[in-house]
Amino acid sequence: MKSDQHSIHQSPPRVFNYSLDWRFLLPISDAGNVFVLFEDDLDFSQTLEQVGIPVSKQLSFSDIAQIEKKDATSFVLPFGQPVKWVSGELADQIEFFRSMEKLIGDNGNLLVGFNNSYGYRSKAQTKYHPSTPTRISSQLQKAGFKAVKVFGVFPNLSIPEYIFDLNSQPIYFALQHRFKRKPILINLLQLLSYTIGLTRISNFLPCYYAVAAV
Amino acid sequence: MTSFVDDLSNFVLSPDWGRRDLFSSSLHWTILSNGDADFHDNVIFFGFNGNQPDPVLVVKIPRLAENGWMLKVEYDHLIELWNCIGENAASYVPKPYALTTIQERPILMLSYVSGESLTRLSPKSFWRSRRQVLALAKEAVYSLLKLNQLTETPIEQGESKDSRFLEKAEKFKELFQVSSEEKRVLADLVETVRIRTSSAIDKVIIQGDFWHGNMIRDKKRGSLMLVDWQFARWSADVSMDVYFFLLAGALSATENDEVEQRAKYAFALLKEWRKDVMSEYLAAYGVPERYVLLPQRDGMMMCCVEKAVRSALEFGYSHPDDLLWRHLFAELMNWPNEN
Repeated sequence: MKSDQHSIHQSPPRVFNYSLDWRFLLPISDAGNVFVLFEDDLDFSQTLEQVGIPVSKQLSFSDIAQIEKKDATSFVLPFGQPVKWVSGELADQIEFFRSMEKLIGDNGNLLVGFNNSYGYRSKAQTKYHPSTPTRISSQLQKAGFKAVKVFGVFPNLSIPEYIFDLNSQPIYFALQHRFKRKPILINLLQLLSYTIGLTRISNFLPCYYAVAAV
Repeated sequence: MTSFVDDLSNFVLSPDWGRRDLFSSSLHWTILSNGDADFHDNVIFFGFNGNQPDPVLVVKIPRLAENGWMLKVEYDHLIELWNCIGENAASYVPKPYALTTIQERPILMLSYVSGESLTRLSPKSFWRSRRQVLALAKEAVYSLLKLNQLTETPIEQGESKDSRFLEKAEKFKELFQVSSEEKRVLADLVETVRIRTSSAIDKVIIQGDFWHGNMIRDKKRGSLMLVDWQFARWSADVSMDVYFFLLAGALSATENDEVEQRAKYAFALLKEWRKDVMSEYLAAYGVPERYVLLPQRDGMMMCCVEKAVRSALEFGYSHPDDLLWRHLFAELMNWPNEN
């Protein structure tokens, strides 16, 4: 049989290179009022449009100076870019988050994705300055955000397989299922959990989302 | 506005919800971003009660609100299953708790099935061992048969027996370039399905996606639990479920090669299974007297057609696996016709 007899009619691609499941950590029905800051990436831009975040709500960092205060909305910094964009200096980063806080209306949120400073994923480390849950929570609070909640993320920020509360049961469940076929790693994690406690393992996860409320 | 996850927690902890008893203390979530970045998949939330190690609640949420129909189908059929079977349904399927809407997003709440998905328990090497495959296949088909028997219901006078297979066959011809020989085989298949189903007396609930990826080995009972009922339906023909299990198993043994090669390999494996695995598997199911089970070739080809067009018909897009099923259909043209 000739191979051309099998060709499917052309149709748009359906699986993207990014998952946007961080939306569930925000008011999901308010997608039209979510602003996303990221570096130029056509695929990511098209992915956002699929969930109702139009191009007009997609911003590059050079656009920030032109943004006026928005009402009741959320800003999303999905991949930790601000830390790279601003600098590695703590004060600069706090100032950046403070400028973001001023842009967000009442009851709005800022979501920041970031890799762990203790990261073992060297590939993810190369592009952005990493942080830690404690450090980013402190920065966001100093920047004026009222409440900060941090979620663990496995295995990366582009397509997370698990997003979970930093509580022992969800962490253990995610670790167990993520590394089911790697019993040595599970045993090591169990050993570590006996030593330092499961909750403290949350300090060594590969990446996180921090959600800060205005 | 509060976040989706906070509204979900508020709903679950609200006294108005009928299963407030599930959570005696604090509530924590793990979100499984199921299906990578496929927007037509559901995201799954696992709810934990206090310090209990296993979740007590599963919440399914479609990534796109327009796919809420899948949750409704799953909820309705799980309710029907529980109505048909009673509390024994807990041995086969999760319990549906609620179908509701939070932040304009439909959500389905189910009991948690404690155990491991067979996708993880059965790697490629598993499907190359006929002994292991036969053992699992027989176990799976006994569960399926039992469920079919428990839901078997007379077709009422005037009730349609149409399985919509003609529509699927037409879509198949529209989506793929089909040879004249394949068109003839498809036409024969449509006619066979029509004649066979027209003579059926009973209908059963079929799962519609009966493969090992939708089976969980229950941690407590050791039995197989069936999850993901979004393609379930009442049908006078069980061929889709019966044959899909074997086809999906054979495809799971293939390497990540070109789809044409994968289809050829799966076909070769199915032929190997024909003598023992398939014959014993089908013998274990038996020959239904009051509803339809198609012969091997027809049943497997019907499965391939349905799987190849499902994404297009249900979601309006093409899935990378569609072409795989189309190639397997072509391979099955060479399957001996026991008619």
